[in-house]
Amino acid sequence: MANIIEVQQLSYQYPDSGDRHALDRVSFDVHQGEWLAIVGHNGSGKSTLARAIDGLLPFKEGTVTVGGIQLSPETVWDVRAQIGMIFQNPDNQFVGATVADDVAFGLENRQVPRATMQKRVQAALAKVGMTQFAHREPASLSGGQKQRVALAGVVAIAPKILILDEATSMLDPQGRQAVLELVRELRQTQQLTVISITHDIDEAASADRILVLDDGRLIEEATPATIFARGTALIQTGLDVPFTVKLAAELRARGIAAPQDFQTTEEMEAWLCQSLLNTSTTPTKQGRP
Amino acid sequence: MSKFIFGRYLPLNSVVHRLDPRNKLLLSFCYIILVFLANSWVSYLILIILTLGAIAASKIKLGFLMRGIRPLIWLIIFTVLLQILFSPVGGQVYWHWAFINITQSGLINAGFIFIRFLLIIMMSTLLTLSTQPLDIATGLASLMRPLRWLHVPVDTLAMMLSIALRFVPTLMDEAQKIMNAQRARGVDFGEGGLVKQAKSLIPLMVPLFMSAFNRAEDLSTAMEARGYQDSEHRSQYRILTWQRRDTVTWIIFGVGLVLILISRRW
Repeated sequence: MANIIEVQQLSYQYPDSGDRHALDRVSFDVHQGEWLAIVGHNGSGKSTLARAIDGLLPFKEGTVTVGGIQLSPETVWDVRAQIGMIFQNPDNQFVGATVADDVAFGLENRQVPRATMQKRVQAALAKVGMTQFAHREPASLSGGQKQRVALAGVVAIAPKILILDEATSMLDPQGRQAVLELVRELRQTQQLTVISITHDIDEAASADRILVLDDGRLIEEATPATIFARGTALIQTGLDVPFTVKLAAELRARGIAAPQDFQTTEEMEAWLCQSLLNTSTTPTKQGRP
Repeated sequence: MSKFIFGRYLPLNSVVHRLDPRNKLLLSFCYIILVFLANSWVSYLILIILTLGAIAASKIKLGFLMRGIRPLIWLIIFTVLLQILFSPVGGQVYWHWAFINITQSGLINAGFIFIRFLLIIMMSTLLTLSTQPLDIATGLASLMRPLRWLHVPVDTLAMMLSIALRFVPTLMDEAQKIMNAQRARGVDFGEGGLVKQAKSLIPLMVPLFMSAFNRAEDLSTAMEARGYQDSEHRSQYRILTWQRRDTVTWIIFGVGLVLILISRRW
């Protein structure tokens, strides 16, 4: 398989961060058509890496080649033309006043004629199932719907590469599932190469390959099966345990018997409310240090 | 806030709502000229008929629109009083004390000013009630296009205006969330003296500003990632089209203009 992205010895330091490298000699390739997940804890440099690939960060060391074009200040717009990027906060990437305006934003920037634009906006909205929302304002949409509009914006410009920069991390479980499902589908129909930067275990599991970043260094590169088979240690460097599981573990550490598995946040909430009510009606001193 | 109708948009489906926003802006501007051309009772009567006709065509209830005038009533009364008390001597003098004269011409002028105020406020309220803020922004940008020759960054200004309007509900939401969070910690908004009220806004403004700056930074990154370089070299998705009903409004305006020119005192 041909490489669509080649990253060689990429290093980056944020201004005023002392000796600490946000990225430290990172090298890897992305194959055409694959789904690559990049995982790592907060501050591991994974978002920095995504931005560097899109030419949003002026790195000085190393090279990035996208679709045969080496990234430089002269070629940055040619590189960006091949990449569609979805960011974490659904609100902060919604530029247009309505859904249709927002999908058209990328096309307007590329000076696409209006007649073509209308067709492509409609087609893109149909692909993500948001046609009936075309004239809605962002304030009336849920986070998941806004991310779908962002995906429609990517579909409209038909790039070769889609980068998801923690695109599902601010969504509720349902919204997250819907967006991931849509990405899987678009990847097939649009022949996209997907790079997803994530904390989410499901999102990482749908990848063909996982890169694990720690402190700006690439520490592992393998298939999800290999990485998950290694046990919890490696997963914990990169992936976030869901919040409810973390909360339950913390409660258990304090001697409160929380049930072992919660499927949803609602179940956790219901259990918490119930147990709080119980303790307030029948106060006990057990479990307190 | 909710009492303030001026500047709000009321979504209805009427001819006035469907007019080209550029046309509505131009019409409103020329209407103000018309208001200042009128100087006789008959000419004002013609204007009132025109205005009521426009309101009727917009399907907006007159009572609702009049409520928009209420917050401005003190400004109107103040101006009218100034006109009555300090107008130059002319016509019959009804009352005189020191430098204050209440004269016939003063009273008539005050009446005219009252009507002028009322008409202009009614028409501009009608403009904002029947036009979405974004359409007003697009219309303004389109009308200012000739200023490009003077190197005014019209497209950039239009982009800024449209983004600002798009983020109004987002930031309002945010402000509400922060207020609720502060209330949960015992802050009282809208209680106590003026100084205390102003002080209680500080824990609201600081996080709100921080979040707005963060949003601005995220948004600029996202815009750049989506290929935004500058506002000049872009095509337009949202365009305005001049339709027959827009031409019809100018025929009506022309008839009004002729009638007022005939009936005004020269």
